[in-house]
Parts: sequence; structure tokens; C-alpha cells
Amino acid sequence: MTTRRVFLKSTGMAMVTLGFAPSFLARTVEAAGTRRKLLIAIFQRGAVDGLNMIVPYGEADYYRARPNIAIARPGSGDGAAVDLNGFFGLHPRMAPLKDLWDNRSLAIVQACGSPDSTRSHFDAQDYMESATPGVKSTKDGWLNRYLQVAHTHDTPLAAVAMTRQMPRSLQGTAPALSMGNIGEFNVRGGMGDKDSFEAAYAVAADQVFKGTANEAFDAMRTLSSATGQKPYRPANGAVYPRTPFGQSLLEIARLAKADVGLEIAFAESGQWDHHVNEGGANGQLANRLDDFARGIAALARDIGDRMADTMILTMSEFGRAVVENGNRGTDHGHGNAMMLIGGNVKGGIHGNWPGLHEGQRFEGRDLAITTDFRDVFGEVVVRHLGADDILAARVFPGYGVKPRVFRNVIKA
Amino acid sequence: MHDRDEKKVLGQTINAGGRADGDRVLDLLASHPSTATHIAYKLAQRFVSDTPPASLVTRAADTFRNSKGNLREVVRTIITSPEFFAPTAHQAKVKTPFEFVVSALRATNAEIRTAQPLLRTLADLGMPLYLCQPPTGYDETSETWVSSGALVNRINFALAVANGEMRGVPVDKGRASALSLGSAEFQRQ
Repeated sequence: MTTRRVFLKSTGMAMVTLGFAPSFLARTVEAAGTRRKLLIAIFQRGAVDGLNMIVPYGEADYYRARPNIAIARPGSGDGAAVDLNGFFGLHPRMAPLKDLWDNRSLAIVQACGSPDSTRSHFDAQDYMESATPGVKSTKDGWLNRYLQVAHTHDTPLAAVAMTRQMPRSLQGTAPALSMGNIGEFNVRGGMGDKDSFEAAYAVAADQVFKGTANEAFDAMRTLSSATGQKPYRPANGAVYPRTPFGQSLLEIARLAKADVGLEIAFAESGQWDHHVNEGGANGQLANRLDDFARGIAALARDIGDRMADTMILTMSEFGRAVVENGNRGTDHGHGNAMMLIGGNVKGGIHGNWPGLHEGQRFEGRDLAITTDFRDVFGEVVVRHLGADDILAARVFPGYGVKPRVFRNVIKA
Repeated sequence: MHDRDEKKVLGQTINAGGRADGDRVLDLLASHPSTATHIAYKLAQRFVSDTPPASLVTRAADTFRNSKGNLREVVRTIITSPEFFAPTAHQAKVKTPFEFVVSALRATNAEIRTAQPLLRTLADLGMPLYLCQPPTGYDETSETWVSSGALVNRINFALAVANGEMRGVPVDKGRASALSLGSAEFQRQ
């Protein structure tokens, strides 16, 4: 493996093509050894229709299967797909991500998913977040297991989910925080109240709550000294959607830039389950993609030069059926697309495309899976977060990490 | 939904036709031995601890089978058991957000003129009323409900109740102490 210093140097050079101001280069290399990698995981809950998100417009079968909701080929006027590589295109409302594609910091892994064939949202999300498909008894999430093996959580803010409830991915014995937003994470009432509670919990006999409270008060101190009282202004003219998802990404960027040791961040976006009236270039899915893409584009822009050390990873529990249903929607499917965005990805389309012809589909109906999602997670843990293979294997019990089957989405 | 085709469920052929198919499947599931163990485990987890003793689950599952699924009898087995009264089971359970909010209101003799602020609190605590997304229902175990973010929210709710800041929910001020409602002890059943 390359050393962290060499790694930073080489990714730093590659960043010149990212289109952000290059002044950060010196700073990045200088700070090597102290700066940590950041992973921002984004879960699209409800199973996004990946075939209308990353459109295989080069497939005649795509258009045969979806007479009402298909996205038109690039160049065919309003509402057409935005071409990526002559075969795949972005849904037109995903256009905000085109700049990232053009500067080769957007990688897409096609036909990705779980070997378990469940079409239950709940089970599939559980399997993806625990990273143990088919095994329900796994106690913790994959991101928490990473924290457990990496031992980098020496600050109270190493892992933060910008969600009201701790997502399954981050549940486990390593400390992690969840919060709706940064401002919410404080004891309201007077300073005296805060001190009284801290003192009371410090002597609590209940070890579980004592430890949790200790983490909480530590984090509050770190947060208030790092983010201060000033309203936050996104950098580089980034404009986040004024939606729960957009604002959660804004809060993550704010934390990332506050130098509080953030290593794992988590956000989620919901309402992707479009069985009825999914829409095509416009409509329900289009509106969700608009929020999703504008949010991520703003995040990458706002994080700016720190994208050299940052990876945004998107996932959804499964894909949707190739053929549209009788309600102009799509039913639960199998394979889907994952996206990785960052300074050290290899921009482009990755993974083997199995094709959409009936004989090429999973069970005759769904996009087949050619990449196990754990191979993408594994590559992120090893090549982005820098865990060594043996430790990383413990993040994926019963599977391990298999560098030889990595899709090489991240520069080694 | 009710097609006429023959189907196989748990190794048995179902061909009763129409709605009777569904009834037949429900009978099959209800009498399956794993169902007794599953229900017994869930109830023991609800009333005793997040990891209930296997001995208790076995006896409760036996009751389920012997009583043909009489839940009253299963619960009776659990709450009259030595495991239920064991010192290790005392305050072993963490209150769900719903239990926490309701118990705080009862402890302070609150009068609920409007439920809106309380519903918002429940949503903030991660348990919006009647809006659980997965069909399995809200989780029963502490790892779902104990986190530093959730604890901060619980402390803030305790402060708001005690200071009379929950609009439309007046409380008996003499009985309301933020420090006790927000204490570790009060978070447990």
C-alpha cells in the first residue's frame, strides 16, 4: 500500500483537474498525517429507480420496457438524458452532477447490489446497513464496525449522522452521534441547567447512561467551540436546496470544515418508492432527483478543496423492475447504481453491465447484479479510509475484503 | 390478490381457493413451532430484558403451544416467572420515547390541552406516533433508543416540561423537577 503521504501527494495533484481553486494543494500536503479522510454516506431510502437515475439510453430494451416513463435519448430536446459516455446518461434533473462527471470526480458502479434477493425494503436496508445480507442477527452497522477496528474515534465527533435517529449503519459499540441539526445538539435552558445535568450524570450509577452523557457533553463542548454562534455561510457560492436533505448536507459540510475530526458522516433521503405515477423527465421521481442532485452538487462545491480527502458514497436498498407497471410506476427490483464522488475516485462508469434483455435479467424481470455492494464498501474502507486488509475484513463478517474483485473505483 | 393457482407454503400445498387460501396460510403460520418461540421471545423481551433468559422464552413458548396461542396465558407465564422478579431484571429496560414522554407527563400530573407539542417531541425523539416506517414496528431494545443525541433531546424535554414551556400542556410545578425527569433513573422502566 502507498503511504498516506505519497497518497495525499498524488491525489493532490489529480485534484488540479477538479476545477476548484488549486491553492489548497500546499495545505493538503503540509497537513499530511494530521488530516483525516472523510466519508459521507448517503442512503436513498425506498429503492430509487436506478434505471431512470442513470439512464441506459443505449439499450433498445430500456425503451421497450418503459413506454410511458423512459427518459429520452440525449439530444432529443427538452427532458432528454444528459449524456455521460455514449451509452449511459443522467436523468435531466441530475444535471447538477454533470460538472463532477466532467472533471472525473464522479464514479458510478452499475448493476450493484445484494446477493440476497429480498424485495422487502426493511430487510434490504437492514442487510445493506449491517453489510451482512441474509443475516438478521448482526448487531452493529458496517460504519460502526469500521470505527471499532480503526480506533480513530478519539474525538467525540468522529462519526455523525445528520438524522434524528441513529441509522443502522452507525449503530454499535463505537461512539457515534446522531442529530437533526447542529443547533439542536445542546442543552436548552440556562448554563446552570447544563452544568447540573453534567454533574448528575457524572456520578450516575447507570454505566450506560453515564457513558452516553459523557459523550454528549464532550461533543457539545467541541461543537460550540468549533462552530461558534455565527450563522453558517456555504463557500464557493454553493446553494443547498431548502429541504431536509439539503440542510442535512449543509450541516455536514459545516462540521467537515470545523476541523472537529469528522471521519464518517451519514445523511439520508427518502420517498423513492414510486409504484404509482413515477413520472419521467418530470414528476415524482424527477422532483426527488432534483433535491438529491442539487444537494450533492452543493455539498461538493461547499467542501471545495477538502474534496481531495472526501468521498461521498450513495446507496439504495435495491433497484426497481425493468418493466414499468400498470400504474406508470415501477415495482421492487434487484440491481441498482451506486455513486462515488471525490478527489480520489476514478471518474466513469464501473462494473459489468448485464444488459436489459429479458434473458439477461434477474428472474426475468430485474437488473441483474454483477457487483456485490460489499465490494464497493470494502474498497472505500481500504482505499479511501486507509484501513489495512486484515482489519477491514472484520468490517464485513462472513465475507471479508477481496481487493482482487474490487472494481477499482478508487485510485489505489 | 386471490388467484386460483395452487401454491406451496412451508412445504405444504395450498389449494383452498380464493380467500380460504389466505386463511389456510395464517393457520399454518400460527401453528408453526417457530411462531411460538418468536412471540414468546418478543414478549419476554418486552417485559423482562433486551436479552431475555432462554429458560423463560422456552416456557413461554410452551404456554403458547399448549394454549393454542392464548397471549394472555403467555404473558401470565412471563410476569409470574422468577426471571421477571430477578434483581437483574429490575430497571433492565430503557423507556422508549413514547414511554418516557408519557411517564414524564404522568409524574407531573400534566393536563394535555393540545397534543401537538408532544407529537413533535415524539418525532424529535425518533418515534413519531403511529408513523413507524418498517412493518415490524418500533424497536424494543435499548441500542435503538440510547444515543447521545437522543439523551440531549430527552434532557431538553425534561427541562421544557418542568419549566412549563410545553405550550398547552400545563403541569403541576410542585411535582416537576427537570433534573429528576432527565435523570438516568427516569430513563428506565
